Amino acid sequence: MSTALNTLLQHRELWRANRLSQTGPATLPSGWPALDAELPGGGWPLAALTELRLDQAGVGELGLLLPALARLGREGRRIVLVAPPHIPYAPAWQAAGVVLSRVLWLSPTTSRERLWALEQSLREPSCAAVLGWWTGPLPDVQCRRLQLAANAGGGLGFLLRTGMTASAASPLHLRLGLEATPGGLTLRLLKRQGLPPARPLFLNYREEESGHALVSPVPARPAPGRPVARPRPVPA
Amino acid sequence: MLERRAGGDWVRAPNATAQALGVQEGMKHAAALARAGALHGLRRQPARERETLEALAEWSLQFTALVSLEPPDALVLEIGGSLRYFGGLPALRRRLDAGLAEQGFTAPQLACAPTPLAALWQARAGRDETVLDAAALPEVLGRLPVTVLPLADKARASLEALGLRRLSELLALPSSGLARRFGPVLGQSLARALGQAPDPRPGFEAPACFVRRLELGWPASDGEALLFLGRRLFAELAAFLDRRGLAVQALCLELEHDRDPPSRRALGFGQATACAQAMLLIWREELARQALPAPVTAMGLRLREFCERQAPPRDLFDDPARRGEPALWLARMRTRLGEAALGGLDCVADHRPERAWRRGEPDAALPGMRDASPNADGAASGPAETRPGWLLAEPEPLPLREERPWHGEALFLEGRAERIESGWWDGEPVRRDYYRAAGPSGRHYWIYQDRQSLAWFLHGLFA
Repeated sequence: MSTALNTLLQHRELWRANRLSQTGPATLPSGWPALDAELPGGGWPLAALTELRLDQAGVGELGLLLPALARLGREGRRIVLVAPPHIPYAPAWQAAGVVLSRVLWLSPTTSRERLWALEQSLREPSCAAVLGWWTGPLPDVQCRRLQLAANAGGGLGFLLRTGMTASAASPLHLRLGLEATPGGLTLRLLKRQGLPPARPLFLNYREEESGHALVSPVPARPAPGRPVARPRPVPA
Repeated sequence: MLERRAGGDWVRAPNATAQALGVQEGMKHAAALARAGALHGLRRQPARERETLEALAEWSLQFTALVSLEPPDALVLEIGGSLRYFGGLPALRRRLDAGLAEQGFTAPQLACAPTPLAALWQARAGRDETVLDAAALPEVLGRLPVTVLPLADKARASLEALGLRRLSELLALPSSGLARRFGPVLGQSLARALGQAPDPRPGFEAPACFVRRLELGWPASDGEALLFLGRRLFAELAAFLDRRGLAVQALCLELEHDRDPPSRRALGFGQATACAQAMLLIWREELARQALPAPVTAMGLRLREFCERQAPPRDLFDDPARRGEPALWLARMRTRLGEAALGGLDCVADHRPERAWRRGEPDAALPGMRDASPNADGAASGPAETRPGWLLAEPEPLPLREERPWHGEALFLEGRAERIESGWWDGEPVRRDYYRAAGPSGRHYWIYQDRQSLAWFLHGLFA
């Protein structure tokens, strides 16, 4: 090969088709370094729907997601909640750093409208993060529809599902199981694209307040607290 | 179609079925009935035809500034000046065809010629021919039948009696003789058509308000028919707005029913828009949300107030597809889910936990809105780090088991009580001791003991 051609091929603006781009899927850091290390691409995937499975609300799912939401809110991006199971308590969300004026809370009444709102929000590029709650089974067709909508919209998508077993299959590319554990949250990466499932991950919320996530063995339960205060009669 | 003229009803524009039975254009109604007993005649409505023509003229104002009406059935557009802008004649022609088809005009007759009358006659004769050279006009026009001429029936009959069928035969005759026999108008028309005489025409001026009524030929109760009507209506409205640089933020459609009084449907677009597609999307959601009370026969729209169009500043490297349309999205949510299903998050300065939040304005989540709400500091709502992410809509009474509050598991109190005693001034006093409690599962709860009844309640979940 002539040197002239070699020089040309070294040119920085020339791309050769046998080289793959180095950048992986676009992601957003979750705010949990230990989790980012396990997620493909190093964070929550953008333009995709991530499935979080929990046995019921209140296992620590908000603590997992709020750092990423806070970051988006600071950038002035919109966050959409579709049918949360309880009232998102504004003082706590604000304390976690979420910019409240960026949050939109949708409460559709029927499951059909819920799916519609979820799909349309995922499809809308101006919605940077869409969190949808769903109880019970969801047909694969609907899952794929939502996945396609998320692909088109390009934001973060989370489907928080309760009322199903952790092992049930779903067509979504990233699936995490959440379980409350004394002192924090145990995360199981049930399915991730390109990598085998990892061992359970323990996110220590207490330690996290200093800004470091710990990966440690899941602690053994239980951790009994002190006995309940005996009710005292109210002085008249 | 029946037309009332001297001596009774005459058949106009029979459809294919009627034609197959031998009914012909220009036949008497009685004669047609003799051939097809089940003939269903529709009365011709000249006023409605005029309205349609004017609506179409208004729509075509987007292609040129000079449109003139040729009642009852034609429009003349001066497109010489617009060709460059629209990228040539074929491109303009495609846009016209597509636009007409969208409005439901099937098989329109279009013709293009250097003079208005030549184009008009070509179109009336059904010749879809493009003539660009004025020198070719005598030859092209010569092939047209004499019936395209604007003549009274008597003059037409006498032309026929003279054996004149084509314009070429007419053009070959001396003009003085023609003027004597048929009056000066015929010669003048011919000269104008050939470009030998000037042909000034009054331009169509669009009215300043948008009033339109579209009729369905039958009462329809399915969404498809109404979507179709909406598509037509919004295409016209968008063209109307485009020409004036205006936009609408909301509008009210009036639906007419067979027997019931008309019903109204309000559509809000969330922002000033002139985009027919956006309006149609909102209309689709509105139809999906609420069923029709009765079959619809017609749909009307009156708009007198408009707003100026706002063009948001754009980055040079901005990709509109990635930015999305937040206002339109929000308007669709609002239309489909209802106003009550949308809310934002907001803090309220109140010590009572159930009053320290409220559903904020959903519009606050739009980009460009102010960032902080007046109560956003949350100072009065207590130490925020002790508040749970989920609040229960109603505090849930907790039973006691072995003197511990129970919620699927035994609850162990953590830390010290936070006494909240407030609201004695507005009739909803609370006196509660709040605790953070943990279960063996690792879940954390926000529970309180009412100081009055000493009962335990679950009020929130730390998630």
